[in-house]
Amino acid sequence: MKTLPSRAAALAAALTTASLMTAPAVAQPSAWQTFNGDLAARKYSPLTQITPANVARLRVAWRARTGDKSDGSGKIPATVWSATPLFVNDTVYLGTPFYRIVALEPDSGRIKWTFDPTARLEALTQPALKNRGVAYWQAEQPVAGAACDKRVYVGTMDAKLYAVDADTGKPCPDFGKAGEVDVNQWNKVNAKWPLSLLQPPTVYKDTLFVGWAGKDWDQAEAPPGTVFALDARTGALRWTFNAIAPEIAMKTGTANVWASMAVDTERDILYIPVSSPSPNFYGGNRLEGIPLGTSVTALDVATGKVLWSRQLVHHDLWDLDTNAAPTLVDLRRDGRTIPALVQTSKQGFIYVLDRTTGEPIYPIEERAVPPSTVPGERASPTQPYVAVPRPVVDDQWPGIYWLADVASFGYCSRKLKELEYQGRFTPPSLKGAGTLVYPATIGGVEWGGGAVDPDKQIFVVNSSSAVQIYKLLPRKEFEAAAKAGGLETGGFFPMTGSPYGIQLTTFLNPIGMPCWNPPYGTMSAYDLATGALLWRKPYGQVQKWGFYMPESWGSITIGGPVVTAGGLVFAGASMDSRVRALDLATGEVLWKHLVSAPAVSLPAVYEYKGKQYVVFAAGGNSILTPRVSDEIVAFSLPD
Amino acid sequence: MAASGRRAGRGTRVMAGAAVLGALVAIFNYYSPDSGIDGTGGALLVIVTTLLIAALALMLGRRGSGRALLGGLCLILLLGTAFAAWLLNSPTLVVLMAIAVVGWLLHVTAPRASA
Repeated sequence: MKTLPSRAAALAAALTTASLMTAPAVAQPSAWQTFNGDLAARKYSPLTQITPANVARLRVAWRARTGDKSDGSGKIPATVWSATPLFVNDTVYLGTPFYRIVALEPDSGRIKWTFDPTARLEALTQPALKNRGVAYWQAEQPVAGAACDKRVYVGTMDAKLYAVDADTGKPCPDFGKAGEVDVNQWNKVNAKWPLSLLQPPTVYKDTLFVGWAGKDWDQAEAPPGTVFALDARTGALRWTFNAIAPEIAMKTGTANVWASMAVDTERDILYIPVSSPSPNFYGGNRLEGIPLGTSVTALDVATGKVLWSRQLVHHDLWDLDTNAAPTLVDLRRDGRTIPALVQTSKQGFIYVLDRTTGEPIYPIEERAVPPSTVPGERASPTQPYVAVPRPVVDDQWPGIYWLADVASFGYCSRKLKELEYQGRFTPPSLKGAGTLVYPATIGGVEWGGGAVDPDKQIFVVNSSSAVQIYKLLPRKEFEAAAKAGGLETGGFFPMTGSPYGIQLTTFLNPIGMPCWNPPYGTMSAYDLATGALLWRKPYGQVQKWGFYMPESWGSITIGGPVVTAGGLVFAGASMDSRVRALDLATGEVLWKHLVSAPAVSLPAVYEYKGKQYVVFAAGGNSILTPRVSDEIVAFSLPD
Repeated sequence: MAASGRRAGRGTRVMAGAAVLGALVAIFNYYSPDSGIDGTGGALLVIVTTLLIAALALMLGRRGSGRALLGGLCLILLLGTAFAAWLLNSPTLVVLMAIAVVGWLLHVTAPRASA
């Protein structure tokens, strides 16, 4: 007969073994466990306490400040804070643009603990310090008091990934070296800059899927796109996905995954949005073709093997990165249930695909597009077009805005005459003042992607309407122009290693007004079962020098929406530092509230002690306005 | 004669008073993070214009030459500031400028004192 100590030891061993078995965080309807709310990237909350009938009563439940912000006027670069708060383990977790983790009480915002990796605060790959939050993992049966059975992960600009205990914030000693994994150790080809970890990993079972961000528009030969699968406990590398064939990797690069990913947990499929190859605006060095570049690609979770891939832009010359996780939804159509995904894009098309095969549910048509006139370049003769669902931006650019033209004494009209434009996918040009590009690198839709109500099958997405000008310049001419105009500040980007640099600007008049017709930002809702557009409304307000422009203009939006079963859409994302609630049925704005900077992030929706909260990180993005902040603000109904 | 003088004086006092209050509101907006326009050029602009209006109103209160020009300039500044305040989402400032316009109207509609 075993003695009690032995029996207890056996029990302890069994429990330890159980805790070593890894699992995703247990799905709880009241939680918000990942960047996109759940692994299907639905950005959907089943909570119904806040409804269109009572949302006007929403008020600030609590505010917190992290202290981590910079306007760039000192030694620390400006911050861009786009973190989704997570609510799990009865805690709200966020990453900051100084790469710290803060853990907050969910009903008061009181700080429970913080973790500071003392990261390098330098703009190594991006023009600002960016962070989109943290990731969470827990053992299948976490043992109370056992260190690191629940973990929070944060990445840094210089490619370090940290794992800390979710209850205490202490580094997990079994993860890499004392809680730190240097992801840059796997940066072995064209390693000209670190693989910046600005997007939190996607966590599924016992694996972290890690993408990275690079230095856009800087080099022709850049680190080739990779996704790393790491053991969630030890940080050991399990597999690497490569977007570019090794035989051409040395002469190109990127086609990386810098945005969030989605997982089909029934089929163990990882969906990755792959960005464009380098150099982004000239493809003469990569004429062989990079089939996985600018694609949505499905990988086997266990091996990283490509199950299918659909390229969304062939031989991308416009930096039209696939920039958001596809939203996974089971589509009920024609009496069948189709496992589908909805992929948004910078080019404004919404691709609805069978997520098991990559085949389109709504047609994708290859259409002839203009050739390139640049020596050494060979643009793709066709590009994929999607007509249904109706794209968030039209095929033709919106046309000259008379007010901007009059206010600038005809500048916009005169400039237009100097620009090349033959519709979508007009390649960048050496001629005249360059090419008018619409939609361009700012989109369309940005990394926030769209949200879905899976029961109503309504898909909601915010988008921008922005016109940019791409002008290629031969190397010597580029160097002279950049010297005179200022690199980056003058819109000059070198694409070093290619015959050309590029000047990329927005089509504004000399007093900063957009030369194209509004609206500049919209929110749209689609019936996924039919592809029909249910409603589209201008979203946000342009604010310049403090002056608010008409609501009918909308504004450029960065960030994304969240949908609730209560029938609401919550979003920040706009230029005017307001967060809003819209009626899902009509798109009408039912509530808005001023926060301290544009909330360029996804909100989280959670329930704690019977109360529903909607929480935003309001951090700002210099693409919208110079205003920055470190504010976290949670809203709820009054008691 | 005395009544018209009082009415004209009342008008400029209303204008100046509303403009001073408007300047205080504008200063508050400029420095308050909860205003949504703190630190902006637009908020700064209306501080300047409201102070100008107050100064012009006080000058108008003194009888003398150039009243028509001053009065016209006042009106332009009043209307411009009201419009700017509307664009700045500052309803209090819009209301104060409306009051100031009433003061301006009282001033310009007061019968002139005969020589």
